[in-house]
Amino acid sequence: MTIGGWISMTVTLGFVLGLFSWCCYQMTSAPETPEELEEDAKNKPKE
Amino acid sequence: MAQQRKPKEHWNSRIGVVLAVAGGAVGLGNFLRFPGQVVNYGGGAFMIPYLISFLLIAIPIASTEWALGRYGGRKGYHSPLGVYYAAGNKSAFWGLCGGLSALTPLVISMYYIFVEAWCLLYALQYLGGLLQPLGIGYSLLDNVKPGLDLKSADAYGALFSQTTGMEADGSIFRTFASPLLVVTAVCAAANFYLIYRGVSKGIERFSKIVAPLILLCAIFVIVRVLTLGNPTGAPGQSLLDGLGFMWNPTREVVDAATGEVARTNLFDSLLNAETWLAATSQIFFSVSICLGATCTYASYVRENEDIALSSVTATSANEFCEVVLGGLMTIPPAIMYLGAQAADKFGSSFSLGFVVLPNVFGEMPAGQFFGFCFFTLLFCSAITSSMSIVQPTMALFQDAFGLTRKKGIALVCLVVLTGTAFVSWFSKNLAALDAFDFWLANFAPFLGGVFQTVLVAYVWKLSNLRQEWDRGAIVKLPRILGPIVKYVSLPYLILIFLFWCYKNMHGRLQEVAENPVTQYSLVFIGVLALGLLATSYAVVRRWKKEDKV
Repeated sequence: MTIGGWISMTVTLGFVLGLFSWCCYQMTSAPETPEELEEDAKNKPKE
Repeated sequence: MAQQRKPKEHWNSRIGVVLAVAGGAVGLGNFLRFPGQVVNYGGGAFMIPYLISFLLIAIPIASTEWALGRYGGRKGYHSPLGVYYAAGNKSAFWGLCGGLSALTPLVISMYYIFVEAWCLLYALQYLGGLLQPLGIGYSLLDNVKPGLDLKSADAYGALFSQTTGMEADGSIFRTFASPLLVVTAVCAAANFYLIYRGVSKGIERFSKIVAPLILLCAIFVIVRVLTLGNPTGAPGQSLLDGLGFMWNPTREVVDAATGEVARTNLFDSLLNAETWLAATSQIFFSVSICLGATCTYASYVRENEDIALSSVTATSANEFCEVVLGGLMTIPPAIMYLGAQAADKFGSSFSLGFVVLPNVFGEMPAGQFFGFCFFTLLFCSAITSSMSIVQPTMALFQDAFGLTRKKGIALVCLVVLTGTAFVSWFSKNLAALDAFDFWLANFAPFLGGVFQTVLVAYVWKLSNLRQEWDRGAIVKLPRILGPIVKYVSLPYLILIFLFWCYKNMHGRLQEVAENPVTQYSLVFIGVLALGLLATSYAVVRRWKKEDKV
């Protein structure tokens, strides 16, 4: 693999992985909506 | 007073809709088409136009489609017909455009179920040990020998032809209950059952199970590929050679006729318009823009739920599967086992997936297990894609005729299976499948993309687009994205579409004139288009009357 190959692979994989990780972080850290909380409560097994 | 339509269903969670949309977009194009395109169009040099197209086409147009879909859903419409009608200021023209755009997912679903069945059949054969070299079950594979052996590639090619009925029309129907027919029926039943269960209980739950399974299978295969070293010991067939073959921006190309070696460099590739066309087409098809699926799925998002971050997440998840998973698991092992001589087979998705890679798994230690993982991954990504393209037709029938879910799925089943039977009957050289694929999966989305962007930029207006993006947004999309849609994406799309037609249309029209099966396929598509137009016209008239009451 040439230096150009390393650069293109690293930049491309880095960009895609970076964007995807940022999106996953934002999605998981965002507060749940009232509808989602309601749905979670419905799905929770009764004690 | 105009009647107020109510949204019919909703997704249960934000993650669920993202997984469903990403699952719909991730398909064979990510794992098989992308690596072939990268190799054919300059390796690393291809990634420059690819990433530019991702930023200028994929992100803006995919977010636009989400906004359009959610807006239609808020107005009580879930099909492209209703969504376009609502966004097009209730004009009959845009309603008809929306109705006609439902042709694309309808026709693609007809052959996609068939392709999905190949993947399941191959996965089952690996599971049962039938696809091992010198294994039982296929006497055809008795010719397979280790190493770089053309007989081996031929054997897998012949197996693929035999399995898919490429030798003669109607060949898979000759035996009652042939394996492919049975598996096709199972795939169709699974699709229709999950859609019948509804978006939250069927599609969303299934996507939540299947997405981790795809990732798990991909991790197994990638770890195996990265730990192979130099399995044959031959020069130029190590892991780094495999990766270099895919990512190096410079390459030596041997002219088959003269034997002369030419060296392509980064600037040669970047100055070649075909590289840009290939990169944009790949982005367009892999993100599944303008197929009606994203628009339909987004119509089930709740009124105040985020679509801005969800659209970017779904698009980037698709890119992750394509670049990271697809880029590592196919071409490198093919080079490591078969060498650069096999490169002429990388360009076609089917050839790479069903001929080259089974050959590689045949050579690989524990190849049966990794072959099973790979085809399970392909099957899982194909079934989530086929569900996403059947759902717009289901939504159309429900919007148009007010059908219950049971009646709606019965009608969808009848229409889709008629097309699947057509494709599987005219299987010689996959002529019907190829015609459907070219006209509906390649040509129509470009045209649909142009119409959709015109609708958003000039009729629905960018201010409405901005409001829709901002409603419930977790992360606000940059303000510049609206003008990019109008002034960059649209002209870029038109330019690429015209160039694409210039490059492809002549050969295709010649094929239509020469091949009767292609002609039957176009007549079949024409009849469906007329049916959709007539239905859309009647429905739009009815909606207009209801709005006046």
